[in-house]
Amino acid sequence: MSCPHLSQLPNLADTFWEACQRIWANGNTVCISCEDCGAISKRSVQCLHCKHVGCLWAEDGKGHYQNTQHKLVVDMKNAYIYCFACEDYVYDRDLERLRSNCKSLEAWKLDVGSASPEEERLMPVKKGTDLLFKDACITAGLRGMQNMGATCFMSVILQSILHNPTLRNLFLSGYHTSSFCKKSSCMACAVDDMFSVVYGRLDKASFFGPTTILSLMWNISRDLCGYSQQDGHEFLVYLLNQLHVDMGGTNNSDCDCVIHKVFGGTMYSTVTCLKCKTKKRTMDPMVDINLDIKESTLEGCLKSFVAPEAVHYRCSSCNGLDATKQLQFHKLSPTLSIQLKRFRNESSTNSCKIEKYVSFPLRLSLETSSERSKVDYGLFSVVCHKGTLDTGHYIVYILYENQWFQLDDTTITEVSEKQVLQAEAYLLFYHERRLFYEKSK
Amino acid sequence: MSTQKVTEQLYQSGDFERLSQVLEQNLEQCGWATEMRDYARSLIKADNTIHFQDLYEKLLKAATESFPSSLKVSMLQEIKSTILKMTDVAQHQQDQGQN
Repeated sequence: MSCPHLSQLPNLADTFWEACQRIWANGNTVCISCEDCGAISKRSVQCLHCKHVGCLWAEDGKGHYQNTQHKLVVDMKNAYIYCFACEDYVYDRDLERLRSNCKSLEAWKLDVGSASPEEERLMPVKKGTDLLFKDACITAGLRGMQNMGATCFMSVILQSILHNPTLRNLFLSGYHTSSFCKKSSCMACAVDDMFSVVYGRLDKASFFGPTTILSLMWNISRDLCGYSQQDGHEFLVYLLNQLHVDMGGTNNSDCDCVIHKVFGGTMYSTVTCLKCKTKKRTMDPMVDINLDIKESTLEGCLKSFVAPEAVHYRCSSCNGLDATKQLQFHKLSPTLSIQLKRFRNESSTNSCKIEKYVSFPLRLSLETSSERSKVDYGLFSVVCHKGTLDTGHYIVYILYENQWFQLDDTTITEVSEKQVLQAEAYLLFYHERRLFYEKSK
Repeated sequence: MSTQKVTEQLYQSGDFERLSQVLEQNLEQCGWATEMRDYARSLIKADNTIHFQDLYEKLLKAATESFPSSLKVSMLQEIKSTILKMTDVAQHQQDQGQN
């Protein structure tokens, strides 16, 4: 939806870049009021021709256009460009690249501190001119997955990996490819191939058959052999561990591999003796959160997870036997994986499934005890299980280009947000709404 | 104080941001935001060439009509008490100045 008026502006890239910096320097907290009516919340827009600030939702922006014939403005809330002549928001590939580069750069500066001239030179180029996939299919990345005999437990996890923003960007950037890796039986290479196929194939009707991943899994993990239905969550843990091994992970508690960077967090576990009040605190690593279904909302279950509970514990200071234990999130990962513990194994032959509906939000905010005290997450994948543990079926809801889709093996359907929020979720995948940068060690 | 002055002060004190977040959270929780987003998507799906102005007007109408009245009441109360606290402080400072 590009507009012919964009090419009429000289120095557009520079002016636009300046406007983006004005919005995002200091983290989008600056309030820019309309020069004519003084309003702040009628969606201020800055003219790309003369920097005049008008409002879009009232008459002043349009008034400025009528007086000066300056057609193009930048929306000062989200940096999108509006054209008064076309009466619509307009998009240009190169400007979109500039927009997202500026946003990342300013966020990086906010977290790490100001960039030195050397560092700034390493940042994504100001004038982005690389060609994107010019012939990409409009649904590149959205492909069905073949069920090869009760493998839907795998498909839903693989789809959640395919649409994980950080992992997707990482693999598509060529971070780990088989031509470079040269290891045989490498899970990371298999996952990279999956990304290439799913994002590269132009035929909308094609689907992906996870044969390599399946056979790798059988070769490496005897427990997951056979064609019987397995647990999606178990597969997720297995896959993450295998990727961690294949992508240079170590057995140290502070492993710095990509998988731990994306999925790894830490939790404090504090045990307080009720008698002498001594506290004992340990820090445990985590790659996901496993919640008991104690409440009917996700927020409720999370609250219950970090609430103190009574435990039996022999205190080393006073030999007291009663204590409380409390969990606390310390460092939260960019991707938050949550499992609602629906499957309970009462005995080796009797397992039951809890089918209680638990509501979950599209946006989730969690508090931590680290210096980054609050993390805002957005939902991007919901894995659902229907039926019993042995004879059930998995489907997944995925957020793709701002639209929710239901992925059921090879059948993909557009669905409403409402339908997703009413689903009986088993696994939930959230991602940080804003990437947080750390100074490199 | 004029409306503009009040709004400016709300911005400076950080209350505008806080009240906006409270409102946004409430609208998400009660499902209003989901309805609006689904409605917007359905409008675009029905007519792919729809212009921003048209979409904005239709959404604004639906948004105002479906805004939950109980939330309206509680937000107005919240805004009122914030502004009263502000004017109390301003009055207090004025009194202090006069003494």
